[in-house]
Amino acid sequence: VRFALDEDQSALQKTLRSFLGTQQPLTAVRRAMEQGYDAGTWSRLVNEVGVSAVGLPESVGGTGDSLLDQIVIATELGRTLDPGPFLSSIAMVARVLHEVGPGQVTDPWLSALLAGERTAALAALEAESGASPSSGTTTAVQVAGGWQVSGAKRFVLHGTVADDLLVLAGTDAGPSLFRVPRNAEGVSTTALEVLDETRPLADVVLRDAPAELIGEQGSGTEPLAAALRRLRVLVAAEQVGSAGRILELTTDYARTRSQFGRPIGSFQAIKHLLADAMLEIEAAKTAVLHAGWAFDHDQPDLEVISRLCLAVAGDAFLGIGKAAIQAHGAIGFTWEHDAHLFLKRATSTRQLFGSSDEHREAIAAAILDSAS
Amino acid sequence: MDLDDSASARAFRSEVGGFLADWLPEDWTGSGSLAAEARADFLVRWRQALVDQRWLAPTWPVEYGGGGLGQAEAAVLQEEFVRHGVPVLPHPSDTFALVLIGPTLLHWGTDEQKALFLPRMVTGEHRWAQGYSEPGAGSDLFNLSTRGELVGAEWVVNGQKVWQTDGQYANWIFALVRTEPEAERSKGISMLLLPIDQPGIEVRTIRTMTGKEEFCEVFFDDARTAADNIIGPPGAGGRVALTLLGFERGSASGALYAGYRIELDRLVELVKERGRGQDPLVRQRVAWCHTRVEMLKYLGLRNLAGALSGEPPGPESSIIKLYESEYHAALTDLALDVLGVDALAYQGAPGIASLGPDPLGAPSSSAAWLNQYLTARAATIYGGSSQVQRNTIGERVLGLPREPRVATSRKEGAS
Repeated sequence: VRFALDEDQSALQKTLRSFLGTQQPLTAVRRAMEQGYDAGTWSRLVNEVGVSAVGLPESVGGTGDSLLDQIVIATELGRTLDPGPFLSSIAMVARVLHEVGPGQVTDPWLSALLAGERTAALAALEAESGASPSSGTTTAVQVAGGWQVSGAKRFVLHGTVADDLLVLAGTDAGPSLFRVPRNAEGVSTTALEVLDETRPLADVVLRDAPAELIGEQGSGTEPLAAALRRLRVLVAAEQVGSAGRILELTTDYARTRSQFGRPIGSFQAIKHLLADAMLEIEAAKTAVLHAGWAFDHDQPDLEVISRLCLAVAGDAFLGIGKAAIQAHGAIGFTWEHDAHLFLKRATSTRQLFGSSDEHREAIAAAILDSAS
Repeated sequence: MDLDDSASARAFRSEVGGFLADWLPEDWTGSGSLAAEARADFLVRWRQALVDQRWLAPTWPVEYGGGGLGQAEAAVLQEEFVRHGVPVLPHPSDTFALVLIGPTLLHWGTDEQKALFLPRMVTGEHRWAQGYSEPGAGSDLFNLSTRGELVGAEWVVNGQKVWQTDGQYANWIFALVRTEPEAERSKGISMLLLPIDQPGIEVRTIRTMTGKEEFCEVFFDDARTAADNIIGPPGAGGRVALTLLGFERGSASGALYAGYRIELDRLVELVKERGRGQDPLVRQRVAWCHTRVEMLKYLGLRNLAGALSGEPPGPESSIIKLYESEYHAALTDLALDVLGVDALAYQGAPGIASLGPDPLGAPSSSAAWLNQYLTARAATIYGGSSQVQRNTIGERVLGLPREPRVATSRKEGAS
């Protein structure tokens, strides 16, 4: 039994931590909040570190179909509150394309995403869908030479900057996936004034926008669900990384900030707050690592396992996000201090990928609503 | 990450399964389903079977009555036992002998001590109690004031110990005793072993809030034990006691999960039977319990993996202890809320376990759940309270500074 990363994974972790430590400090994240993510950093992550190829099989240009490898990347990116397109372009869209399977449109598109030549955003949420992907009121019709999509998608991550959109739309044969170039006629995107500026979101309106069908007509739901199961684990991994980082920053502060003649971390009121946060983060970390192993070894109950990860990592991250502000006192409430970046990331991630309550409800359904 | 059994662990799992299939009756539904008398009889026979099989102290060397197995096999053994509803430690005092003082002796003891004590722990000839806490030394253990003095060839001990779980069944006690009165706090303490059946020792039971006599207090009035009956050098008792906490950390983890999983399954059935399965609040709490139990599995696996790879024990025991005991308290809160008014009275068959979740086959009665609810209050206190565990995590894992110590009052208090 081994419950730890292997040598290659540890090496990848080390490489990433050192790369991101110098290339993407929180000051760079703050710049990205105003100007958008730095394409040069993303390009180097793809070309020098190879983050886009990890987690996909070699047959499509990846380095091996291992979720655990990808967890290493997501965790490290989480530590820096990465504002880049790893989640949107790689963990979401590239994975969906892989789940769809080979095809004339998917193959070159997937290659371009993995090479970092293009980026893509998943447009699957609607006004009434909550955090669950839905074709909703968006529809696609076949026209001479292709398809046209019309409708309105909400909360599209990197929706104003991605080269292409992967859109879930209804057809006569059921929900289907379409590629829509963001600059195409009939596509309008509006950046939202978001709570968490490290995660830029957009509303997307489509009016007879030209589209290419991805996979079979009516077969959009399954690949999306399969990709989503893995995505939950990766998002949880990212949260574990972010949570670990803000715990470190807060612990450092508690060790050095002195009040009443002693470091505030020596007071049990602060010490226990941080100890509890650490406990939840450690537990969430084990859940994510276990999930990586479970996916890589085709274990049963992956749906429940993926929801468990997001439920516990979401709570652990929000817990330390709030505790960090509290432990820092007034300085933690300032714009200048980095604590709020973590709190906002914790908050936005929960809502974008489903709250812990929502995931627990799904777990409860699996446990309580069975026929037995 | 490799969470599969190794080939040898898999083979051993099937060996254990085969043994249990042969040994247990065909209609076996778990020791929890036996009535009190049948259960008492079963436990005696089961313990002897474990002794014969050398599975009672599976990791101890064969020469001391152990099985000579590795931690991986011990983990498999314990997990399979719990899954089949047979206890890992059949006698109430086995925990103190086989989990606590036995491994400590293996680490610190002389060859003579090991040869004398270990085989007798296995046979059950010696039944052990733990003598740590005192009326004035609970969480602040090293504030203890029971004194020991070497007089000729014997230690003479005076003072009082308290909170000996199931101490009334014991005939030996391992006790932390202040033997170097001039030394500073923890450095003046030694670990002594004393036979209980002597005029200088009196054991009285204490009734707990469950209504049962589960605890004892032990009075030492010129109690005596041979000069050899000290573990480690004089003054090393504090270190001896702390090392003890790191032992066997890995092998119990599978059993821990299996036990809580069986208990949660029992609660899920209760929720369904009571028609509470569609209540959104109950659903949230059941799912929360599921996540906690699963994470106990992962934390346990990580612990086992660490032990197998030879990493020195770290603060994992604090993490698991805190996580486990707080979870169990919350789980029993939920059980009572599901029972509703039926939790107002002890109804139905009583529960089994005095510590930890009831075994496979145990009743899901209000009487059983009430007992679990009450005993779960103790688990966040004994073995280091949740508050002490949080201090340990804060200081040893996060590196936060210790609370400045107020000048000790021990000397005034002890004089």
